[in-house]
Amino acid sequence: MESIYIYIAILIYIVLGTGVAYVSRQGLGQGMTDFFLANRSVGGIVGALTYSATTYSAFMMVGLAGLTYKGGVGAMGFELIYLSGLVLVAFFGPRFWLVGKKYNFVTPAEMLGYRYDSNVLAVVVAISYCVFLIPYSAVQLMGVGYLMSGMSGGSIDFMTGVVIATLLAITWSWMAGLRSVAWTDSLQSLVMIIAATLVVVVVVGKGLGGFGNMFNTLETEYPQWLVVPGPGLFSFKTFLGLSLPWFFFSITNPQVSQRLFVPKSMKSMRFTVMGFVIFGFIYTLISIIWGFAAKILLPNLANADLATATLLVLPIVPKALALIVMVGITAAAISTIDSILLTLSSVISRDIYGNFKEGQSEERQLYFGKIVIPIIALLAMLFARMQFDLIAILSVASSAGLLVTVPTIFGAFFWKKGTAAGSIISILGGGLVSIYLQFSGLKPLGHWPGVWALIVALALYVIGSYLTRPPQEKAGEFLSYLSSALKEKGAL
Amino acid sequence: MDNCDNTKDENQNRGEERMSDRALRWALFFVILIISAITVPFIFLQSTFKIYGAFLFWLLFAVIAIISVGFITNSWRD
Repeated sequence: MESIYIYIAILIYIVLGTGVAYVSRQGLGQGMTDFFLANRSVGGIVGALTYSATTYSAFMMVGLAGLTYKGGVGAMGFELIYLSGLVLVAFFGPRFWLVGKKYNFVTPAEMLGYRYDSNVLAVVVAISYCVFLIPYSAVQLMGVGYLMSGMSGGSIDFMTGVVIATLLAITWSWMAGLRSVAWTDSLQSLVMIIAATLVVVVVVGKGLGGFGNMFNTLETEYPQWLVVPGPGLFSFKTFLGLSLPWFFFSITNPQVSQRLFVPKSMKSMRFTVMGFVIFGFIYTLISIIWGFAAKILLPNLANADLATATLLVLPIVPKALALIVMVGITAAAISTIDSILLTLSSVISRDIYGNFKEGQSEERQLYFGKIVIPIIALLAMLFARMQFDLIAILSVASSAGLLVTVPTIFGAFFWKKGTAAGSIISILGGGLVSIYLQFSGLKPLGHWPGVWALIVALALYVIGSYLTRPPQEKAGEFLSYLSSALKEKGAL
Repeated sequence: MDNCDNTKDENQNRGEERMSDRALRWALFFVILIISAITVPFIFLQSTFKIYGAFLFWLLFAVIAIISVGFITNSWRD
């Protein structure tokens, strides 16, 4: 496709998005709660859309479709296991929300630091977020780079797409913090799902003779793609290694767990959760069917990550629709990156800067946070230049790293004897195991880094907690407040 | 009066237990559901090369998870 069409489509998207971000500035107040949490006043519809846009990224129509192309139905299994991870929000959502309001927490790291009575823990958690989420942001930037380069047949350079995505993410998170992020996310999530649905209907209808025919073709020509392990990618251990980090995503990844602080009411939170799971279910199915369609129409691609870009330039896809889908995928990536930028900025200013330079005013912390946004974005951009082979694997590697915070988060709400020391060694030990295994490529007994990192983190958390004294007063106060407040709100 | 208060306390305690039991029951249900999602297609559906095999199983699994979250969040109130 001619690059001029791509540039025009992106320009329209930039103008629309920036317009929405500008409008969202109205009502922007002072302080960190306002900038990073939209003053805890996000309604159900915007909540569901921003949660969806933040969670679902370029990975879906590029990486997940690529995994389906390469490995078959196992990709659907692991993505739906991720979606079912929202059951955790049924337990943790009200807890985060209630303590967030009572103690005015801005970040999940701050919450854990308070519960365990340790600023050091808050700093450690904050650093682990930075270490693992910057690569994750880079993956999203790479998604945009691949897409634009693939669709233009290489006339748009990979790095051009990456730079456009970086600049947009910086601008939209800067303009009004979570307000501009949430409102642009809402617009973007609608573009994402409408464009993806339309193109799947067109491709399956025109290219494959309808859904029935497509499934028949899969059963007769690609039967291995309908089972696991299937064509080979999804061995049980690979499946477990991919699914485990994703299942806990909703509580371990701060760009989404921080969203649990922002609903204006329990009713809004319910709408957010239910809206998200329905959105996620539809978007997952669409991405999987897209991957299957690519397998049937383009069976011999050398690189599965290029399936989407190649499929979009086939003659059966109208040019205008292909452009809208490209914008939809770009939107999916940018809506994830700007949320991560905002969350990391809040964590660095509140939990790292705020703890190292005690006595800083909130204004000063916020000022520092705003400076940090472009710096993180540039780091992610540098990481994107490294261009690993398979987007999905790298994306999961970041989640595997954050999996080590699971014992600390569970313990914060369900185990009074958990201690800061146990948490710190658990996160550091588990994190180091995850990084070591990721970089060395080792898979002891065939299991993926996330599995080992979680086992090590859990063991260290329990041992460390038994060997040290729990913060009885803080933990008691925190948990007894929750016990009564949860009952009052009818939550589990 | 004391009797009345005691009865109220007991009811409240029973209520707490019920609440806790409810949470545990849901947690157990989800553990079983997730374990089945990870294992069933690998054990029982390895040779079902049909759309009604692993594809349908995971679809139903997700629908059950979504409906369950709907049930749990239905009792949330402001």
